[in-house]
Amino acid sequence: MNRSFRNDNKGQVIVITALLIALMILSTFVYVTAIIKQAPTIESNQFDVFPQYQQSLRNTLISSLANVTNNGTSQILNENIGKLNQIFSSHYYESMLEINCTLSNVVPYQNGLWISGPQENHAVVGAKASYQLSSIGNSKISNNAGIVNIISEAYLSGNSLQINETAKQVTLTAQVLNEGVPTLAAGFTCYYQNGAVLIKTEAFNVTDFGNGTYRIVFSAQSSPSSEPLVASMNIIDHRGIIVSVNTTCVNL
Amino acid sequence: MRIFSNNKGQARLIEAFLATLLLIGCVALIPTYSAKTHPPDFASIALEKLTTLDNNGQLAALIDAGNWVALKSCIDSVIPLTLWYNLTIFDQHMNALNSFPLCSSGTVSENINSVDYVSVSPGGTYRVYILRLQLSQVGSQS
Repeated sequence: MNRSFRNDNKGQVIVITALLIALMILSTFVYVTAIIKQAPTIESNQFDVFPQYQQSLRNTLISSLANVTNNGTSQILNENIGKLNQIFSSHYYESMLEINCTLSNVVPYQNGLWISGPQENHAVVGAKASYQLSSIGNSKISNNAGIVNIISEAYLSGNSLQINETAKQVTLTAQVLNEGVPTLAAGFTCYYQNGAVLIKTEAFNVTDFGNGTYRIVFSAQSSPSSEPLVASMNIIDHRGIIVSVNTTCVNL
Repeated sequence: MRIFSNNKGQARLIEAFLATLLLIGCVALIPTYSAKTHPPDFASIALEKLTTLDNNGQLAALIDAGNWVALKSCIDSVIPLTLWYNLTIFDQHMNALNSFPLCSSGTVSENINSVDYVSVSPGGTYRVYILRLQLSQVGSQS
């Protein structure tokens, strides 16, 4: 077993060759990785647009409903949604965005709107739309769908007390709700019926109970009669949506 | 029979092959590790913050009122101090609205992310704003 490095060097050559090959592979790998890192990449945040669109659609419905209940035309909702979709389509650069927004026509909604009109003790106004979004990117397609529903409602009840020959003290209790949750009102307009005439009253006291419930007290010019007094209110919620509601006051 | 008697070369070849595999395996793990420690996506952060601020239309209400000071305070409160930002507000025809500069101070990294956010005013008059928020790491030169 008289071995020498010079005579038995086949293994070493193979090892050195293998190491050199390994180094070449490694250096190639590192180089390619470095090049990939330097290349500009466009990262698509397709999912970010979905909550953004839903929120914008929600605000669009609120704005349109506030407009319609303030003597606006019902076409405004369709126009506003059209504008919104156009802006989203033109300002979303990361992928192709397909938007399909449909106004609800399921009763009681008509063209996305539900305006119940002045009703006894309870009135509702609402807007409803469903949407489908498709974000088509280079490598993936994301879809999202949902329904946005905006509802403002008001309950009104009241009583009246004949305080003298010509006047009644009217006490009304109003409750304001947004999407079924008590909410704050931004303003009130009070009317009462005297015979066939609807009289607007400016002088009324409002007590805010802080939970969406309000007590409104005012004096109405009304002669004593057995007929109960009819009061009407336009309640503006904090979103600017007006709900009109009537009540027939109980004679005390 | 010579192959079986003189097999030291083969053994070393196998050793070298295993060592190579080990090295390649280690290097292959490096990009995975670096991907995990990649800085967060500023665009996503910006959109998340703006969506939160605009939850009840507050952002659009401040823009409606032209209350740039309050708007800057809102943005200051949600953007981390480690990030530099510059906010520009456009109307739907891309006319810049803010006369007041809405940005933070500090040295800025070379890499600036920009994101557009669409904000709708929930008021009776329909207004749409496009908020362009640019974000960058403060002080980093990466």
